[in-house]
Amino acid sequence: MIQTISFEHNGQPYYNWSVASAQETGVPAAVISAAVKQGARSEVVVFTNAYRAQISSASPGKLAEYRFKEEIARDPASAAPAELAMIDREAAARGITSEALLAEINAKASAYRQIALLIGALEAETKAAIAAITEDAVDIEAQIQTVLGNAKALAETAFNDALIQINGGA
Amino acid sequence: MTPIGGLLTVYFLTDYHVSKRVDFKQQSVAFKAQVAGSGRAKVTFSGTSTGDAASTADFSSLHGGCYFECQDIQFEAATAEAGVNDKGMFRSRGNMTLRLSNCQIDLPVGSDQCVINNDVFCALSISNLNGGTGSVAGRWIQGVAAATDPASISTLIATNLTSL
Repeated sequence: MIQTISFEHNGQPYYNWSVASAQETGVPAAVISAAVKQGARSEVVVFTNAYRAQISSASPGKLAEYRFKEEIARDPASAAPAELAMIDREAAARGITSEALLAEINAKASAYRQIALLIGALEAETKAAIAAITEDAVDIEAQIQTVLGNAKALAETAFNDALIQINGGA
Repeated sequence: MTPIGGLLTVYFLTDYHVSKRVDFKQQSVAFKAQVAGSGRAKVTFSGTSTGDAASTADFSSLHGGCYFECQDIQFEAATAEAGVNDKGMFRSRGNMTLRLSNCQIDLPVGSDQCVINNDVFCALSISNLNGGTGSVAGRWIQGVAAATDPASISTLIATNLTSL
């Protein structure tokens, strides 16, 4: 996909220009480079947020439930008896033991934490790699696409691994 | 009459003034510049459409699903006169796909003239476009504020703009 850039030059806004067209019309390399990098940073935010959205429930109440369960499963001995009783009821309803349910919660929580933290790290690393590309690089588009491609590939692999774990193993 | 699936191409050999609504019966219309010695043709629109005091002059399609493609054209709108409610340069009676390539949009500073009228379900594709009189943000679609997320506009089918 050809990356387009939007920027302002000589007081005039430019929308969705190809890098080649901007170069042909004499837009300075520094302006083009800044626009390419800004577009790449926006793309990083979009794709990392897309992964975050996939591992988050749309319901704030459900997210709170996950947090409570993780807290209980991490240290059942310290959990309130009334709350443990709810875990027992859910386990019974699902036909498994309470210990099995707590183990499942711990495994899923571990996978969620791992992928959530990894996405955060990938986002920061990718933005840093974009910033490190020199402003006057003639192949800036190619370098940006390489950085984005690597980050997306890493995120997809890690996400799919985490998803297998979250869904109960392969 | 252009047959279904055909494309009517309108070549502007010189600058052109649109004084009233121009209704196209064709499904697909391409506007291209063929001006000797320069790149873009300039197309200006009146602030009130002759015969329709509630609307600015515009390009309009009578077709249910239309496609307007514009290349190398500088579109310039005039400030709408008092009482004018419809302020877009493009509109359709049904779905519209508008593709602007190598064009310039000049909208009067301080006015609320827009590219697309607010009564249109549309897809909007932009490439190599300049805002000649300033930012087009907030003026792509009538009534849609600047910096609006395109995904939040229910009448916008698709666009390659990341912000309206």
